[in-house]
Amino acid sequence: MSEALRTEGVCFSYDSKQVVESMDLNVTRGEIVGVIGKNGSGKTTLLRLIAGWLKPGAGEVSLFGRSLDGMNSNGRAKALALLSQSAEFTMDTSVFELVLLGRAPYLGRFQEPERADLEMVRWAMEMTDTRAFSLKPVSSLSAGERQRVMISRVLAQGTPILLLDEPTSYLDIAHQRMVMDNIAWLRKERGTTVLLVSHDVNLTSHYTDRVLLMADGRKVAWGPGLEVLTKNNLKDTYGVDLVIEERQGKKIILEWEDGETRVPWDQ
Amino acid sequence: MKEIEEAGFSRTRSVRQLSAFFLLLVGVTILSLYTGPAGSELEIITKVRLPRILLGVIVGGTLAMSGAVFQGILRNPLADPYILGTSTGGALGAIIGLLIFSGSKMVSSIFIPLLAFAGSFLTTFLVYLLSRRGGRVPRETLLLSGVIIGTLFGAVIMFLMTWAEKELHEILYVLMGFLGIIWTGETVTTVVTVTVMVAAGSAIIYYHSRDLNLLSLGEEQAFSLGVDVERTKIILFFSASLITGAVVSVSGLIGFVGLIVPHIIRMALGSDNRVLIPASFLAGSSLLVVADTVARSVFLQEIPVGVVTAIFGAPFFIYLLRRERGPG
Repeated sequence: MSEALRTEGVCFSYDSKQVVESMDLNVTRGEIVGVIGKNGSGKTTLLRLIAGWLKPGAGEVSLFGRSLDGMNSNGRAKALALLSQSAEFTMDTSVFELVLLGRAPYLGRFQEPERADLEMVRWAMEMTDTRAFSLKPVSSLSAGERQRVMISRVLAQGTPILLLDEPTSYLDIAHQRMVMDNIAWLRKERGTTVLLVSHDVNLTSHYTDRVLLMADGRKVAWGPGLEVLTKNNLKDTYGVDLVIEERQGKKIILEWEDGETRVPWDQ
Repeated sequence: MKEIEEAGFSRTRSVRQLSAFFLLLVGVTILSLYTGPAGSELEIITKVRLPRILLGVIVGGTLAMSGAVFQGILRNPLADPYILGTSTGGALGAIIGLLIFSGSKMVSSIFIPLLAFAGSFLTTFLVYLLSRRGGRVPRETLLLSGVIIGTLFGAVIMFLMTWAEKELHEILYVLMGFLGIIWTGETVTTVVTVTVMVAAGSAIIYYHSRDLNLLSLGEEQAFSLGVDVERTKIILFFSASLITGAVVSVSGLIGFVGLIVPHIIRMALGSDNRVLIPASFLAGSSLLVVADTVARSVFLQEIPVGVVTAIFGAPFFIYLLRRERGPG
């Protein structure tokens, strides 16, 4: 059980507000970790810190036992891929060309893509069901189709670690399932380690090995979904009463409980 | 498997496309050499028109390439050296030079271009500092800072003009854009210096052209693909403003080339900056040579080439603005 990802005492503040506070995480190779929490609880910031895009004010991030600070940018790009939330895209190219950008860490500045790169792109597009419109301009796609293209771009990077910020947003339920099943398959077949930020608690419960519950930049609960996604934890975090059941060893939210929701941060 | 053959960067395809644009430039040059009210004597062609065309090639190419770079870094299709204030800064530098060194031709031939480089460079630096937020440069603040500094420096130019007497005519040419400089030993030195600077800046920009492709994904995504985002932005930003300043010192303000050309190239050849950057240079050269030919041959009295590019460019800008706001 080797370690894929570790954060030690990672802190980040923005405008003198602590966004992430002394975060300790230790993620094993081949683990799918869910990150949940209210809007503004620091989930995306945590992902950006692990990706190296933000520098922690204190603490350290390491990948496979190596400090992220000590890695060069290309080495980092081969180790870790980041799917940003609502990734904006300004260059109007074909879907295929966009996904091909995922191969950049493996190609020289003026190098033509090789057969292996093109195969990888094709595979990444099959994983998200985007091959059918591979030659269409990105601007002609719907939000959900575009999101799947962005996921393909990340998969084409072929990294052992995936940081996915809301990968299923805009996706219909069939594609949500397809994309998540394929990510689970990647973990099984290739030992890919995944950090998944999502607001979908059931999806998180279903696909992850461990869950990090965050509030105000802090770790509130950390462990298997069964232990973290409890009625009390979710009530404390979100301030809503939920009917939760356990099915096939996973917690599942069935519905809202009757009655008016009191939001604790308004009190 | 059609996409396997079609997509991605191809050296042979790029060479073919760039050759086509090069041939266009050669064609335009030949046409321009034989066009003009003064007839086609060898003397006029080689001593008057050829140097002017060569100047148009350098200036037009540089402006178009800078436009492509600014649009790429800022990820905004409406960005170009004018909107960012880079050109106005260069013009201000050149005009200060005209006022300080008026009368001493020898000194001004060295210092006016230097002051224009300094003007562009400092403006860009100022705009960069103003728009910096916590170690990053968001494009919204960058565009706003560019517009504000450009407007401020425009006002400074107007203020200087109220003091200018015999230099007023020259200042007007800087503001309107003019390629018909009088060729003397000094101006040849200036143009050679500018050409060397443009060659160096273009090489740096071309080297970073793939980084511009990756930046189109968003800075965070580009970073995760291995781009050193802040460093690349600074290198490209300064290379583009330096070559812009260099050409502004010899041609004055010529608008819209940097805006129109990259758009047309994108429509024709796609958005890969490894093709877009060099193709924009060649097409910008062709466009400015044509515009200058129009400027010097349509009316008996020659009109500034900046007027010609503005007449065609402004409607194009409006078209882009409206398209930006439109659906999709």
